Amino acid sequence: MANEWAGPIEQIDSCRYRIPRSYKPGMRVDGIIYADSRLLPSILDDRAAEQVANVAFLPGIQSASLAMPDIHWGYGFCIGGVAATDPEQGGVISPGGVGYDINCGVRLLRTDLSAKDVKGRVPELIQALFANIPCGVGRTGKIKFNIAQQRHLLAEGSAYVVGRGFGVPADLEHTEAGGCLADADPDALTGRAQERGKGQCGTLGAGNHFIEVQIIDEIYDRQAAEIFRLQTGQVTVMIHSGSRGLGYQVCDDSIKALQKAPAKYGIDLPDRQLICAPVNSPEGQRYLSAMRAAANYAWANRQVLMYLVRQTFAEFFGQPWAKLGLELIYDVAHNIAKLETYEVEGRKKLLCVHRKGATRSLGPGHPEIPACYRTIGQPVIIPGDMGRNSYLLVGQETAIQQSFGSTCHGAGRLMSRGAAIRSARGRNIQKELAEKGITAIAQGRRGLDEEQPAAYKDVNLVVDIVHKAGLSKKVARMRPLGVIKG
Amino acid sequence: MQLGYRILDHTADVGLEARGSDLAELFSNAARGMFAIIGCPDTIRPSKELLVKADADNLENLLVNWLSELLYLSATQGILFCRFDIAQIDQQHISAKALGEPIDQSRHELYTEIKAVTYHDLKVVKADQIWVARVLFDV
Repeated sequence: MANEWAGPIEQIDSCRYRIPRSYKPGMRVDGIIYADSRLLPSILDDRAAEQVANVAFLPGIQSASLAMPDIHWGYGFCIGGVAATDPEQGGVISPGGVGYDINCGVRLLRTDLSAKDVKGRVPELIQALFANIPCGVGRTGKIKFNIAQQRHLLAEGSAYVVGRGFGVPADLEHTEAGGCLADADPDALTGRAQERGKGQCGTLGAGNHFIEVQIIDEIYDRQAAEIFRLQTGQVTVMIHSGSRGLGYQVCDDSIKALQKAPAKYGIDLPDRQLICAPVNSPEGQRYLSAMRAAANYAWANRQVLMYLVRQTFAEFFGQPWAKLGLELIYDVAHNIAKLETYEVEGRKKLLCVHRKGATRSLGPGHPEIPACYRTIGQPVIIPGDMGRNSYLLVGQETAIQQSFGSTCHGAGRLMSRGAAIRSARGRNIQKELAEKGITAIAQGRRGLDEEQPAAYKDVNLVVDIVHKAGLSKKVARMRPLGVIKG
Repeated sequence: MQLGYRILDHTADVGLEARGSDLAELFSNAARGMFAIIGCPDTIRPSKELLVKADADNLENLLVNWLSELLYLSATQGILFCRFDIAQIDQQHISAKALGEPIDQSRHELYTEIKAVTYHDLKVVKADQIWVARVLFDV
C-alpha cells in the first residue's frame, strides 16, 4: 500500500514543514508537519502527508492541520495529528480524529526503588506482573464491573474506581482532567458498546499496549525533576492502554450513525474515514457525550491497571505500595477530542481540539495543571519502543501558541506489522532484548516481533524536535528494564 | 491467490485483500482473512455455530457491517471463527452460519486484537469475473 508523497513540501524553519493549502482544492488551511531533515524522509514514505492535507478539508478548521514528528499513516486522520475546529464557524467533530481506542493514553509512576533494589530480580518481577495483569486477546481479569457499575464508571471515570478502593484521591489530581470528562452520557452508548466493555476494565489489551518497568538514565531539567522527586538510577513504571472494546465499539457505532451527516450538513470529504458532524448539531453532541463516557472508561481502566501494578509490587517487595513510593506522576490521554480555549488571530475561541496520537502539553501557569506542577508545566509522557527510551517532559507556552497545546505521543511506527514480522524471521526478539538487559514477555507469539525496536522511529529524534520546537521540554529519560505486552 | 485472501502491509494497521468467484465466496474469504489476523486458523475447530446477519445500503458498507458483526460476536462471546457458510447474500443483505469455538488460551495460537473494521481505502469491485475486496483494520 506504500505510496511516496509527490506533493509540495516547504521548509518553514528547522523544525517545521508546510504543505500549502494550494496543494488540493478543498483544503481550508495549510498542513504543518513538525520534523527535521532526519525524520522527514520516513514521513514522506507513506500516505501520512496526504492525510494531513485531507484533514485540512474539515469545516471550521483553525490555523493549520498539524502533524507531530511521530506522524505515520493511519486511517482517515494520520496518527500524530492535531486539528482544532471552531464550533461557531461550523466546526466539526470527527470520530476518526479521535480514533477507535478513545482515550488511549499513558501514565507514569515513580518509585523509591533504585537500580540496586531490582538488580537480578527484574525477570521475576516482570513474570509477576504478567501473571497478575490480564493482557492479550480475549483475556479478562478477576476484577469485574456489572452493567450498573459500568454506568457509574462511564459517568465518573477514575473517581468511581478510586472510590471503590482502586487508588487514592491524589491519583485523580495527577490525571488529565482529573480522570473524568464532564458531560459524559452513558445513555449515548449503544447496548453493544456497553456489552463490549463488560469484563474489560482492568485489562491491558494487545497491540502496542504495555506495562514497562524502567530506570531513569538521564535528567535534563533538575528543577522540574526535583518537583517530580526523580533522579538518575530511580525505577519508574509506565502503563499504556485505552478504553478497550468499549471505546472501539463507541467509535464504530458513531461512524455508522454519522454516515448521512456529511450530506445533511453539506460537508465534502476526501476520505470516508474522516466522517464528521458539526460540533453544534445533535449528531455531533451525541458523539461527544459517548466519547467522553468512553474516555472516562479508559481512565478507570488505567487506574485499575495501576492498582494491579501496585499490588504486584507490594507482594513482590513485601511492603505496602505507599512505602515503595509508587505514586502516580501523571496520566495523559493521546486519542481524544476536547473543548479548549486558544487564541486564534488575536481572538480567544473555544475550539474542539482533536488529538489523534498527540498529547496535551500545557505551559507553566495553566489553571488545568495540578497545583504541584503548575510552575513547571503539565507533565507530558512519551513512550518509546521497548529497546530504547521513553521520556518525561513538561508542556511549554509555545505549544499554546502554535499547536493548540499539543505535542507528540510516542516514537511513531516506521515498519508495517508485516514487515516487522518478516524482519524477525530467524531471529529471537526476546533473546535480543535479553542480551541488552531487557526482559520482555508477550501473550501473543507475534507480539514481540511486531513491536520490536526497529519497527519504530528513534524516539530520541522525535523528542528532540518537540523540545527544539518548544512544544515541550525534556525533564527525564528512562530506559526499559522489562516489559509485558498483550 | 490460492487462499482467497492476502494480508496487506500498512504502517500502523493491517490491510486485507479477499477474492471470490461470487459474493458468497468473497465475503467468506474476507471473514477468514480477518480471523487469520487475530489467530492461527489451523488451531480453530468448527465446533460451535452462530447465525449472523448484516444489512447495509450498499455492498461496501455490507462488507464492513458483516466483518464488524463477526468481530463484535467474537469479542463479546469469546469465540474464534474459522468457517462461514453463507446462506443468502445480495448487495444489501447477508445471512450466514459462522462456525468456530470458544477461545482456549492453551490451544489457540493468538496473534493480535482487531479493534475495528475501517472505511479507509475500502473497495469491493468485480474485475474479470472475480470479486475483489480491500479493507483496512485498526489493530
